[in-house]
Amino acid sequence: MKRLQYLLVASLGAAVAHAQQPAPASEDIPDDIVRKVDPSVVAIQHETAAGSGFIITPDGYLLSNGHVVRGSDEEDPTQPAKSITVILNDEQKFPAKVVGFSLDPDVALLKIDPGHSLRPVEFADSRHVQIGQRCFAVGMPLGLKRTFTGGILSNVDRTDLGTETKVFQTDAAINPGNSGGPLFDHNGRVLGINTYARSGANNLGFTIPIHVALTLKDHFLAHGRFVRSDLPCYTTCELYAELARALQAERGVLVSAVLPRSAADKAGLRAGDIIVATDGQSTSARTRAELLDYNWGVNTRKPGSQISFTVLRGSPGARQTHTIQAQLQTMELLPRYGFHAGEIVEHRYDVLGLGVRQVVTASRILHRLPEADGVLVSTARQGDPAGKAGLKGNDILTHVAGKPTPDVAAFQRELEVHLARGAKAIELTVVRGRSTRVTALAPFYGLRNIRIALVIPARDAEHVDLLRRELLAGGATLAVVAPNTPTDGSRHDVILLAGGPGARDLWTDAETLRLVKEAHAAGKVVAAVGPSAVVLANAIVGIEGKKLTTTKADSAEIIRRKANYTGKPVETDGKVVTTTGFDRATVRDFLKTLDRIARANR
Amino acid sequence: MNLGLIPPSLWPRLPRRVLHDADATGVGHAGISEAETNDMITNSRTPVVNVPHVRALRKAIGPNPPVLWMLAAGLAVGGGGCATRRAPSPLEGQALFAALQQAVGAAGKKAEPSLALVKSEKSTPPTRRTVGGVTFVMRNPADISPSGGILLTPRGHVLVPGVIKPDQDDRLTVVVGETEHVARSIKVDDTLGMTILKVDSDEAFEALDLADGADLAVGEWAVVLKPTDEDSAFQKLSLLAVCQGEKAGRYRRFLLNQPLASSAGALVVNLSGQVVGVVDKTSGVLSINDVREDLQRFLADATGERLPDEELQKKGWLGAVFEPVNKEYARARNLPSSALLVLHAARNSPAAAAGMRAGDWVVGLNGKPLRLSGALALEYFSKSLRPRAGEPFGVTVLRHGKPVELKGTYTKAPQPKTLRAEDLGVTVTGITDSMLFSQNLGTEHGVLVTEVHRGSPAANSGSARQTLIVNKDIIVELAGQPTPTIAAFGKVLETIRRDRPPVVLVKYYRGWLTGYAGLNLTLGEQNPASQE
Repeated sequence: MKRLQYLLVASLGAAVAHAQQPAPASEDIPDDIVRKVDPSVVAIQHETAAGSGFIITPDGYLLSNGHVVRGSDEEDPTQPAKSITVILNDEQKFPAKVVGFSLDPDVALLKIDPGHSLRPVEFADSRHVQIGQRCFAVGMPLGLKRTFTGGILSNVDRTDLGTETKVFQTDAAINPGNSGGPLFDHNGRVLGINTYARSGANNLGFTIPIHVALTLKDHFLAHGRFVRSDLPCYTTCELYAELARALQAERGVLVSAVLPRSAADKAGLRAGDIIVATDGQSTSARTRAELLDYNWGVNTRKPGSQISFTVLRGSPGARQTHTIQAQLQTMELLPRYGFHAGEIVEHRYDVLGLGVRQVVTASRILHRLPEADGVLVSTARQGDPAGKAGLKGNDILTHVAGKPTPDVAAFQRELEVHLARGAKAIELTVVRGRSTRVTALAPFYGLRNIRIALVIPARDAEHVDLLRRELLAGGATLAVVAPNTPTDGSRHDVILLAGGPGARDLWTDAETLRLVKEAHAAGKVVAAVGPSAVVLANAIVGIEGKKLTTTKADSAEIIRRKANYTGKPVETDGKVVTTTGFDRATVRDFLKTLDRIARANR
Repeated sequence: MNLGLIPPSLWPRLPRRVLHDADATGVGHAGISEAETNDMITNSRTPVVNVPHVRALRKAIGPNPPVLWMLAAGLAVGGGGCATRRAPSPLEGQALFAALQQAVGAAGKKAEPSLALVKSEKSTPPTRRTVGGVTFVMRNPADISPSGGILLTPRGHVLVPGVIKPDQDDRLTVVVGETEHVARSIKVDDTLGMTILKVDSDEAFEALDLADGADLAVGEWAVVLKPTDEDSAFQKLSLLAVCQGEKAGRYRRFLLNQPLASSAGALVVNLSGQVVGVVDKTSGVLSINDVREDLQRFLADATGERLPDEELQKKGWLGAVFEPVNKEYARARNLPSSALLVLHAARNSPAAAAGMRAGDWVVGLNGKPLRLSGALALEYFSKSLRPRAGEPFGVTVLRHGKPVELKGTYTKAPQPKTLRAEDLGVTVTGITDSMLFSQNLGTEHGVLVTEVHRGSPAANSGSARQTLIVNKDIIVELAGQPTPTIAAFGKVLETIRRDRPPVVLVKYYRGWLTGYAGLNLTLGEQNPASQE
């Protein structure tokens, strides 16, 4: 009875609360709502940018925008920023880790370890919103923390930005710094993540609906990235009034294009088909928002699952119904286009001025690339060997010296064979547009006759591929040495120890220590990336006072051995060169310095 | 034409070793070695060329065979070979000089009525200052310096070097003969670096005949015709100059030994009266043979008249796309650095008919090996050759390392048809194999959109961001009917005009992907009469 009474009171309370749902008469955000949401909104800061975010679970998961946490690595756009700090509303600071991020839809999931329970936000039903609804945004515009701005939902079906999903438009003031912050409805429930604002305009702010963000959150938790299902055909056009009339079809989703020999083609779909039902459910896209919703619905299905389309085919008045069964594939990695920075890693040979990536179908369509199997040139710098060879961006390299290179691994393998033997001219077969030609890459071997031993830690070696290919492209005689292998130090001019967490095993590796000690005593150049710098501190006699740098985590070891830990990204002291190995750019700077010192020591 | 005395300071600078006693006459030569001169002397018993100036000379000097023949030979061949062993007497020298002046005058006579002096004045007059009894006239620095101009049409279109934008309100004065006229700038061509002015006058002018053109060889004499005006610093003269070479480029420019910086716009003729070129702002003589076509097109643009079709029709077409060989590759494969790679030989083109294939290396043309390398080689092949339809060609290509001779005949370039579909709001053109290759088009079985008319059904997408149909789309179906050619497109367009549907379906290729659009034919320019 008591319980029933309690329930009744509770339900009455709920009813009362429900009755309160329409917006209050006054314009103020009620004080209790402010106090409810304030602790959930955070500021996010990293080495190059800052923005806002909000807490979604008590144990420390946060949502923000992808562009707030993205890194600045040109070669690997999937890397987030390295040192992200999350600042709560009471100024407590925590380091954060990015679980996953995407740039379109612009969502990121982060995790902190707060040590105590945090206040998460409540979510509104962003599938059922109305224009004119009151909303307010909280964030850190231009660094001004805990700023509340208010307005209405100006539009809820905004597709004009070219984003993958529709976005909400609001006139609550959104400024740089508000990115990643929440847009609350008048009850303090999150409608979406504030993402874009039209610069130079007044009160045009755009918000990603929260249901989109939550779908991405699940993907990030499960896979670390957004894994889309590939819609087999291209549906790029909604059935606007004229098109519907010209096709004499009042409802359905138009198939705009089917690539020859694609999965859709094989399944039997044709351009011009009108999909009237998907998996038995009637589907239609008369507006752009409906079309984006339809595409989103298919993209978020599980890859590998079956899908069936009921299509109408034929000229108006003589249409026939067909049923097509297809299997959804995983969508390939995205190249850079629109808001996407891409998910494809570039393999760059800086001394050659050449960078290559794998080719994906989306690239072929974006840049009208030919069908050839090869690697895509993403960087070809003028003035460097790649530019002198006449290579241009979006060329496809199909052969190296006559041997086919259908993917990046094959290309690297073939190219490095010729680089290792110091070839004067390496012939490349280039396909551009509808023409094919062979050209010759003439590397400049600055490190010619310099013998380098590259010691690679047993596990988690970082940047090894980068070190290896840049040194090879520079013409060095490179020998890759596994740890704990007896090596004759006199046969090398430079000893280079790669980095990574596995490098800590090298600190006590007898062979490596001996190699470094003897090499340094013989006046050779010794260099180390990241934690391997401690090996130098251990091995070199008279290390006291010598300038070294390493990762912050291992700096204590350096200091303990009385070496002079400077913490600079790249440090040299005589013939000892070290680097923190923080990111690719730092390692490239380190290689330039090493290049200079090795050549001076020749 | 006032033939003033040529001041000695303007005499062509002559190599001393050849002058001997010929100094006083100012007659000599440049550019021909002594050995060649001796050859000419020993071998020339008869005049080499019978040209007007030689006849004038003969009349002036009288029968004096050794000197006459030497002069004739020298002047005709391109430089007067005059290393005489016996110095002419002062009287003979004066006569010679007078004859030379006459010859030079005669050379310029035909072109003289077509020359104009172009001046521009700002509304403020030049400042004059009198100091110590001497009046100095200072031209305002903003004034455009006077230059020569050339009359191209009887209605008074004048070609002037330099860029004078039509909207500048400088007062332009054009002096032709003794009369001054007002003119305004109507068209500018940035590539040529020239402007066309239109003279405000009802007078009929003498247009210069551009057809009779000639090139200058190194060492050949030329006459620079500069128009004059008492107020300006120029004198109406013909200046004798010698060609010292030519500068390669899109248009060749002959280099004369005269300083030409203040002679922009002057006409240069050779001693036979043929037009060699115009002095442009870079102090070179723009070759009329190279620039004639572009000049005619420029003039046609300016006057709104169509180019004579025969000109276009006569132009020869090869149908091959070339690319200069990469230097490193040429070095590695031992190819000549001037080799050109054949990227494409269009279907049904003279190149294809001759057997040229993609992948061939072109190393010779008409029996001569290609000499320029890189971009210049390409320019030479495409611009300087100026082939005519019907002319034969012979190309030497390297195929699998072996030279192969290919022969063929240039034909007329196929002009794809264009159709302006006002009802839809697009201008479309047929697609040739060359276009498919060079523009990397998605398909050739359609018509290419080259223009989307503003405010038309094809433009009205209802969204400010993009029109429904965009340039470079290829329309493959219209109202459900395939349109692989302009003719097919035109037929469907006729049925649309007849049936007047309110909307029409278009299927197009945009890049590699197909797409559909529904054009609302009630949109677009409204006919006022029908708005009741």
